[in-house]
Parts: sequence; structure tokens; C-alpha cells
Amino acid sequence: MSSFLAQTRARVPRLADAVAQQRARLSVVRRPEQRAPRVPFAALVLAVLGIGLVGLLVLNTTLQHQAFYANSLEQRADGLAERKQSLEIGVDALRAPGRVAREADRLGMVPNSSPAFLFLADGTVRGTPAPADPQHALPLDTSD
Amino acid sequence: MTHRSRNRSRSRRRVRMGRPTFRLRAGLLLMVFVFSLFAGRLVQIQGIDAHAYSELSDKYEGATEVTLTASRGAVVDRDGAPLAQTVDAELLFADPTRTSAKAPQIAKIIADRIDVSYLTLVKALRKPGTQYSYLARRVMPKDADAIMAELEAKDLAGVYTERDPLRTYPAGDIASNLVGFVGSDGHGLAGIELAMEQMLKGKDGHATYVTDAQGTRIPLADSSVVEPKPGKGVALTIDEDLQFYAQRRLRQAVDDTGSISGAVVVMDPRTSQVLALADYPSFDANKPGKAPKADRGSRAVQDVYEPGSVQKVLTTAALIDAGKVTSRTKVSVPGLLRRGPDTIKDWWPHETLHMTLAGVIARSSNIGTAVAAEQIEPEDLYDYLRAFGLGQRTDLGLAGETKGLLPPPESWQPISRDTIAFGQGLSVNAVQMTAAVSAIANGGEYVRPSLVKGYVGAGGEVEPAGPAKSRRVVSKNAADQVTEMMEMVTADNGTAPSAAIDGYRVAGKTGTAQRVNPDGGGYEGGGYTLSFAGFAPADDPRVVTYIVLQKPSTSDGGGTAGGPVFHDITSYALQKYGVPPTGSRSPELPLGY
Repeated sequence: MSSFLAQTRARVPRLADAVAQQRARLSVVRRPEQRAPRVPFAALVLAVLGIGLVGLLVLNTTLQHQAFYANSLEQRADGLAERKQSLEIGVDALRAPGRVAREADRLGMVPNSSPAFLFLADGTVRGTPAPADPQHALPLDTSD
Repeated sequence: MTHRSRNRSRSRRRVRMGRPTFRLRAGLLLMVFVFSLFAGRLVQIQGIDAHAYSELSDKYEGATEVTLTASRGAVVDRDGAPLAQTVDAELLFADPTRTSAKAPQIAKIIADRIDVSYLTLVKALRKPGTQYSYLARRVMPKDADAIMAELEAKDLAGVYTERDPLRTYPAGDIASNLVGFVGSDGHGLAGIELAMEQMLKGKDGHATYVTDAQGTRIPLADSSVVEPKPGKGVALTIDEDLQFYAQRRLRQAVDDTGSISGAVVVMDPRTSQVLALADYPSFDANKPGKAPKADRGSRAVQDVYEPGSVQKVLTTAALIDAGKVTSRTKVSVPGLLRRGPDTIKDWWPHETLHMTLAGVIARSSNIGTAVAAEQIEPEDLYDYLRAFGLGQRTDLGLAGETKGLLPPPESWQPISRDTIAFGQGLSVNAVQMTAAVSAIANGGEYVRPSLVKGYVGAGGEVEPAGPAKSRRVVSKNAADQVTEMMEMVTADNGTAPSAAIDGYRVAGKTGTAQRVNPDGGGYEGGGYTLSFAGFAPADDPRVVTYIVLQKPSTSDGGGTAGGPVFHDITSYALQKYGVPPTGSRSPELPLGY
């Protein structure tokens, strides 16, 4: 470490000597003609900036657009869920046993009080079939 | 040409060489100008308009914290028909500081759509000293949307909506005694809604996100969501159709007999699953407040009463299982039976009769049962009855279930064995008694009754409830003998021929017991409890039905009042479940000797 420092210190005067020598011989120096062209570089920087800007803009717009789209889809889903729900409520009301019983009653039907089964395989009847008895009509009221 | 070229060369030179001082100054000036613009805007935002902006942000932007309410699980019947479900609805509220000026116009629009009075609305829209005033709760979404659209179209501001889920009971009073109902805060207050609250309610989640003035979420802004855990649904063992029929048939029976209340329990004896459990009077679960408190529970599990002669079925099964008697055992039945200071009578006056045990059951003789029961020790009878589930809760899962009263044998009076043998001096609830009879129908094996079939997950998958515990109470042989004797009850010369179903073998037993007067004073003025328990087909039981009528004004026995109800409900169940007659014939047991 210390030897390295010593070396540098030793080299500095030598460099100074060289500069002095150069100064001593003055001459007209032509401006170097071959300078890096500015236009491509500027264009590159502008292009990077431009693309970045446009990209950001596009990204932002897309995200916003998607947010709006998602929002509108959500609203649509909500609307459809509402519709599904109200249809289900309707179906439940229509298939409720009370409603079916009322409709059957309106058609003059009564519950069968003598269960009997016809077996198609051998044509036998099990149980004692009998015409339904109007006495077995289930009394329903308006709230059923 | 030269001029132009000179010009160009000069301008090029200026660009190339520039004038550093001028450029620096111009740059500095520009920066100072731009920065002072920023500073000016900063002062404007932070200093002058600060209040307005913070108000604006309070109103529209910033992190919005929303509670995501877990949807409450549904209660469905054994086939998935909804008995209780939660539907989306909305709450309408107003900011009276914005609505009071145009209250009449707004109130008219709302009152036209939903069932709230115009005057109430005007009052709410003008409520002083608040920015939050309730207008209506549980408005169906389509009504709420229509109202909001119309208000917006007429430029009437200040009315808002909020999520307000509504619990509905599509079946109204069907199974309301079991399903129960919820309070205005959405928590269960009765029945399954109360008992299964933890499972049904689920766990609320919450979301935090940033929105713009239109409520659209700003992408890439901070947000966090903890999804709510929806409550599980509960599938009952109840069959909605059978439940409906049982409830209506029971109502008819209670009305016809002038009873103060009644209950019907229908069970599948193989599993002790409750297919229907009807109570009357009952209530509409959508309007629980309109029914008296006493009607909002289930009397079938809450009320206790003395079972009367249906108990003889259990006593006889115990006697046969203990090897003391058979259905053909001869019993000499005196006209009166003295037990210390007390006298036991039969429901019909008679001289000494010579009956078989089958005859004792078929004619429902108290004295005959007491004589037969002399052969069993009180401790043994007690153990059998405990094994049949008497004196303990069935743990059906409903609130307020009673365990009944089966006095321990140490406390029995000399007459206790006799009265308990024919169904007095002990009390039961309707589900207990059905489960006990169901054990006979199930070949002597008691299966603990159940009301919950399974739990329904969010995706509709059903997780079955654990298997019901079962235990053998009496031998298959004892159960079969009792069943044959019970068939005699529904025969033409039994006590309940009206319970017979043409073509089927039907086992049954009537019950009539004095009812303890709830106002005190023992049996005086309490009336009677009429009941009927039975099952079909007797040789392969699929349906057990039990009917209880409390304090009927008619004085007929359980067979006359309960028999036809049993016939109708059991016939309905047999048809619904496609149970044909077995084709065998009832054995002819001798009833006397």
C-alpha cells in the first residue's frame, strides 16, 4: 500500500513534465471533424421517451378501461343475479305444496285415500283401488 | 444565395457556441417560473382550498372499508326444496338535509312502488337534525332499482340504498315450527335457525379499496380483500309435501274435534328420520310477530303429557322380551282392580273377562295390562322404558325440548307400576313416543330420531350428518309379537278400525289419558289427551305415524279421533314413497279363551 502511494507520487512530476513539453510547442489544432452525430442520439432519446410515455398512457388507459369494463360487468352480473333471484322466488311460490294443493282443489281433485299400485311387469294390482272420496278433500283456506 | 448561406452559418454558429451567461439566466428564469407555479398551486391546495379538498375526499375518495356480509345458509327439506333462504334486498335511507325540500315528490315515487305509507315517508324525509333517516327496509332489488332510476330521472337527490339481506320462508307456515325464524338483526330466534346459528351464519369478510367519485375502483391503488365465508345450509329430514299434508290434515282434525292443540309425527322406522312433524296451531315464519309466543315453537317436543294406552305397547314388548308372557298368554281381567286405597277401572264396564294378551291390547284394557305387568319388577320395567327413550331428551336439535318424566323406581308408589304400565303417572313428548313405537316397528332396535339429514356446502355438496346411534331394546321376536297384537287394534273388532288402510297390514294403538290441568289442581278440568300411534306395512314397516290431540271437546277415544288422521297421513306417505302392500295376511290371534 505504502509502496503504491510512493509510486504515484513519483509518477505525477513526470506527467507534469510531459504537459509542460506539450505546451511549449503550440500549434493550431483543427476542430475534429468526426464528431458523434447528434440527431440519431436525440432521436433515440426522444423515441425512448415517447415510447415510454405512450406505453404508460396505453397501460393506464387500458387499466382504467378494464376497471370500467369490470365495473360494468359486475353491474350486469348483479342485475342478472337479481333476475335469477326473482325468478327463483317465482318458481318457489309456484311449486309450493300449498299452491299446488289449492290449484288441484280448484280442479275438483281430492287426495287419494286408498293407495293401490299397478305392477306393469305382471299386470297385478296391489292394494285395493277405490274411487277417491270427496269427503277426503283437504280443507284449505285462503292463506294456504 | 450567399446571403442565405451567411445567415445559416451565423445561426449555426450561435447554436454551436451559444452564450453561456444568457442560457444560464434564461434557464434559471424558466425554472424559477415553473417552480413558483408549483409553489403557488401547493399553497392553493394545502392552504387555501385544503378544507374543500378534504371534504371532497371524505365524500368520494380514499380507502373505502366495506364489510362483506357472509350469506346465511339456507334450510331445505330432504329433497332440497327451500324452507328458509336469504335473498338480496336493500335498505332505503335518506339524507334529510337534502331531501326535506322535495319530500312530497320523493315520497310519492317511493310509496307508489313499495308498501310504506306516504305520510311516514314524508316524515322520514324531513327528519330534522340528522343526515341518516331510514325510509324502508328489505326492499326487493327490482323495486329499489326502479325507485332510484325514477328519482335520478327527476333529479331528486338524497336517497341512498344499502345492502339489507332478507330471510324469507317460501313455504310460510310449512315446517315453521321446526325451521323457526330470525330477528330483525338476522340472527336465529327459534327452531333450527336458533339451534344451528353458528353453522348457518358463516363468517363476515371485509374489503378495503380506493374508489373514484363514481364508485369505480381505482386500479393499482391499495386494496385488500378478506372473502366472507358463507354459512352452510342445513338439509332437514322433513319432506315438504308430507309436512304440508300432515299440517293441513292435523288442522282439520284439531278443528273438527275442538282440541286446543295437536301434533303429528311421521318417521321412517328404519332410520328414525323425522319425515314430518306438524304442530297446530302454528305460525307463518314470515310474520312471527303476529302469532302468540306459545304457537311459535314446536309443541311436539316442548309439551309433555301422559301417553295413555299407547304405552301398553312398550310395556307388552318389555314383558315379552323378559320372557314373562306371549301374545297368547291368558289373562283373567276382573271388572275392577283394587290396589291399596286406589281402584283401577277399564274404559268400558265389564264383568271378569277371559282375554289373551292380544285381546288386552286389542281392546285396550288397563286392568289386563296391570295384571300382566305384575310379573315384571319395577326396576326392570323402568330399564326397558329408559331404553325406549322415555325420560330423556331425543336431542332432535330443537330448542326447548323436554325430557318428559319417568319417575325412578325408588319413588314408585304401590300403584305406580300399574299406572305406568298403561300410560299414566309418567309423561312424554310426541317425538319420544314416536321414536319408542318406531323401535317396535324396527324389530326392537331403537334408533335415535333425527331431524337433520346433512349440511349443504357453498357448492351445493351435501355432507351427511353422522349416523344415528341405535341400540337393541327388545328382541326381534318380542317386537314381532307386539306388532301382531297391534294389528288386532285396526281390525274390525279392535278399538281403531278407522285406522285400517285397505290392502295393507296396519299396526296401531290408541291412547286416551287424563290431561293434567296446566292451571294446577291435578287432572281436574284438564280434559283428555287423545292419541294414536301406528305403522304400515306391519310386516315390513316403512312409515310410523303418531297423532296427539290435546283436550278435544269430543269425548271419543283415541281411535275415533286419531284413527282417520292416521289413515289419511299414512296413506299419503305410502303413496308418496311408493310402498305397495306386502301381500301377506294378518295372523288371526285369539283375543279370548
